[in-house]
Amino acid sequence: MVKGKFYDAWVAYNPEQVKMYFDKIAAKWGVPVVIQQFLQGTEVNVVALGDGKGNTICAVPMRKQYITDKGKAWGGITLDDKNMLKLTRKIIKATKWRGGMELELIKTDKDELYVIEINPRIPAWVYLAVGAGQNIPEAMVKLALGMNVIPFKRYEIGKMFIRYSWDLITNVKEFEKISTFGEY
Amino acid sequence: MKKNITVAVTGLNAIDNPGPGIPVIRGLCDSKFFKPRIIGLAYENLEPGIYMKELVDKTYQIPYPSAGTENLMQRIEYIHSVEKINVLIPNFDAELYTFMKSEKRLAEIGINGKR
Repeated sequence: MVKGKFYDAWVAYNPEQVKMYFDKIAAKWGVPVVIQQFLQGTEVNVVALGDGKGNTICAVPMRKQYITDKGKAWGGITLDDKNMLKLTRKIIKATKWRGGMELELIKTDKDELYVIEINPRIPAWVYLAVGAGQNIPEAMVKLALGMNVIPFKRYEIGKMFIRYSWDLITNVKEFEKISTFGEY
Repeated sequence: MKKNITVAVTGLNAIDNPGPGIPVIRGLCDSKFFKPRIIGLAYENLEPGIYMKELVDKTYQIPYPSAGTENLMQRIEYIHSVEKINVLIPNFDAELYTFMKSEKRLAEIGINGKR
C-alpha cells in the first residue's frame, strides 16, 4: 500500500508501481509517503476519546457496510468486539491520548487486528456513536473545559447509520454575504 | 438548566467525502448538558454547513493553514473578539498541526482554556 500523509491510498503490485504511486502522491500531498504491507481482511474502525491521562472516555467500534469510490463509509454498524475496545484502550493508555481519534484497523480471517491508520481527530461518522449512546462531541467539550467526565461503559450494538445527500436550497444573497464579507 | 456555551467548528463541508463538522455539531445540539451557540469556520464559501441555519448560528470564513499560522490566528482572534468562543474544534487533518502549535495562544485568550 502506498499512502499519502493526508489522503490517497493505492495498492501497488510491483516495485515499479510503488515508485509510480510514490511520485504521484508526493506531488499531490508532499512527503512523507507511507508504504505498508497489503493486508487481506475486513476494514473496521473505532471512534474514541482520550482524556490525556491515559483513560478512554468513549470508544465505539464500527464496520463500514457500504463504501464509496473514495473509500468513505456511506453506511456502517456498531460492533460487539471486545478485542477492538481492548486495543483502543491500550493505545490511548500508552500514548496518553488527549482528544478524539479514529482507529482504522484490518481484521484478518484469524481475527487478528492490524492498525493501518490513526486519524488524530473525530471522524465524519461520529454521529453513529452519538446515536449508539456515547455523545463524543459533548464529552470532548467537557474535557476541553476541564470538567470531570465519567468514562462511558456502554453503547448500543447493531446501531446503524446510512448517509444521504441533500439538495439545500438557498438564495444568491446568502452566498454573496459569505463570499463578499467573509461571514454569514 | 443547560449551560450556555459557544463552540467554533471547522469541517462544514458536508459533501460526498464529508468533513466531520456537521456530525460534531449534531452531537453538540443533542447535548443534555450544553445549550450551544455554534460558530462555523469555513474555508470555502460553498461548504454546505454555512447555509444550515438550523445547526450553525453564524459562519466566518478563515484562511487556509497554508496562508500561515499568523494569518489564521489573527482571524480567529477577531472572531473571538465578536463571538467569545469557549471551545474550538478543528476537524481537518491539514489544520490540526497549526491549531496544536497555537494551543497556548488560544488558551491565553480563553479558547479551550479550563475555567
